[in-house]
Amino acid sequence: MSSQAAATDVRVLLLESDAEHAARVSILLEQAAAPAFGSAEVVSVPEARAALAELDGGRYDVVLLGLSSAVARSGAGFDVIQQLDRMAPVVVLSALDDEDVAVRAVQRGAQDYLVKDRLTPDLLARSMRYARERHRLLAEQTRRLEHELKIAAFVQQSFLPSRMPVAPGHDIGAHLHASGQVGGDFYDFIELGGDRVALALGDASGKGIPGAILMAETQGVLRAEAAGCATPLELVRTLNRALLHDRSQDRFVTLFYGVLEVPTGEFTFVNAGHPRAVLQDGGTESALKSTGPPLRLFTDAAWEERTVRLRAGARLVVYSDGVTEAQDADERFFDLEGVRAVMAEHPDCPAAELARHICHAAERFERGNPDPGDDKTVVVIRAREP
Amino acid sequence: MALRIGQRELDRLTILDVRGKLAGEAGEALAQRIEDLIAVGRTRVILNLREVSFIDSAALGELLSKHSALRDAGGQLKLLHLTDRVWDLMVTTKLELVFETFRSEAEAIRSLRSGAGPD
Repeated sequence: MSSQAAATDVRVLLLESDAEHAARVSILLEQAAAPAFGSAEVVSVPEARAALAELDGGRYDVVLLGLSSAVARSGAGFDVIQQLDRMAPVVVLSALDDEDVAVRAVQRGAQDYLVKDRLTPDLLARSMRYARERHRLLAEQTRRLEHELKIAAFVQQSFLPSRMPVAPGHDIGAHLHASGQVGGDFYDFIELGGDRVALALGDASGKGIPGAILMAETQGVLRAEAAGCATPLELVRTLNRALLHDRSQDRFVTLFYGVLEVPTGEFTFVNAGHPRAVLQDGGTESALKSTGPPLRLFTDAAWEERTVRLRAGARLVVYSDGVTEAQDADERFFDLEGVRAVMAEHPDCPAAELARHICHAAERFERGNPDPGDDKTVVVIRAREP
Repeated sequence: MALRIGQRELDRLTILDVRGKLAGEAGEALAQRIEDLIAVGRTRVILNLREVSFIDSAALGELLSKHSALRDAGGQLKLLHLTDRVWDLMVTTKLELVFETFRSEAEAIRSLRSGAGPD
């Protein structure tokens, strides 16, 4: 077992409240160390807080966590495994020989679960070697994954329009708050020519990478096709056909897509399964409700197109469901009332600022809630007074 | 709040009493439960959503996919007791046309018993 001895010295942190057990393990470690590692330096601490402080202060190759039968059975000692595992690989030495308990320990991050009565120097040495190697590989994988996620988030940010469209007489702004590193929300503005500007706000279902990829695909097709489509309805149908090429029916995209005729303020939209947008004009408010199902669910769906007019002074607010479905600690929803409240509070503020205010208010609202929130996106168009 | 799923069985019919928020991983947990039912041939399923305050878009996607999976397996999925918010989501996404929804358990059971075809 220990024929090819590695020459590296190891530093072992032994967390064991029972002094007698600690002494026994130390002796085993000495026996194990000579052939397997060269020499082992063992620091023994009786409780978790001291162990964490010790790990914080110095580098350890492995933590041996001693558990009594009672602690192992109750599972109370398992919380500390996660904390320790962030700093060094953990091998559990337990008085309890129970397969279920062992599996739970490993699920919480332990590299191995050894029964105290059956410890031998060889077994301990091998377990420690494997634990170090696995922990190192895992840490490397996690680092690589995080690095790639950062790149993905950066790429995704670059999909968002870098400037607002030119639309004389109109003030257009947007804000997106991503809940994770990558998300499913997006917005876009496309100058279609002939004094027409397209606005899109979409939400691809599914968080993380699957949502992000679907979002990227949607936005890519949308940009390529928007100018070639005479109406929003045509664009939505074209986009739906493009997204339906693979028929896994568990992910979809809700999309609010509208085209503004800049000189007249006429705004024609299709709302594909997206939350209602709000149009406030003087004292009146209208809801630009869903006019058909989300994209990527049905080959043929009867989307409808509607036209409204953005008169001078009117404000159109389009948002993703992450805004209205933000929940506070008491599980109340931010809802449309929350959006209206922010609009009332800022009657004259520029479009981009209003969009940001709404996102931030929803985000503040859900701060006490331990569940992670969803992406929040708001697009605002203000028709200026002449 | 964590998702809880109670299970009742009436002959070949299964009623899942779902409680909590169908969001994030909870949607996957429910989908997995339905997959488990399909695996043992229990393909006539009623989802009682009375205690479900909220369904997010990912969970809605899972429901759609399990709706198809049950149908492909010769069964059916019916939704029971939708809260206002969940109903609103169905209307917004027009999926009220895809899912059959019921306000009474007896009606949902009757519909499943009569309409599920031979098996």
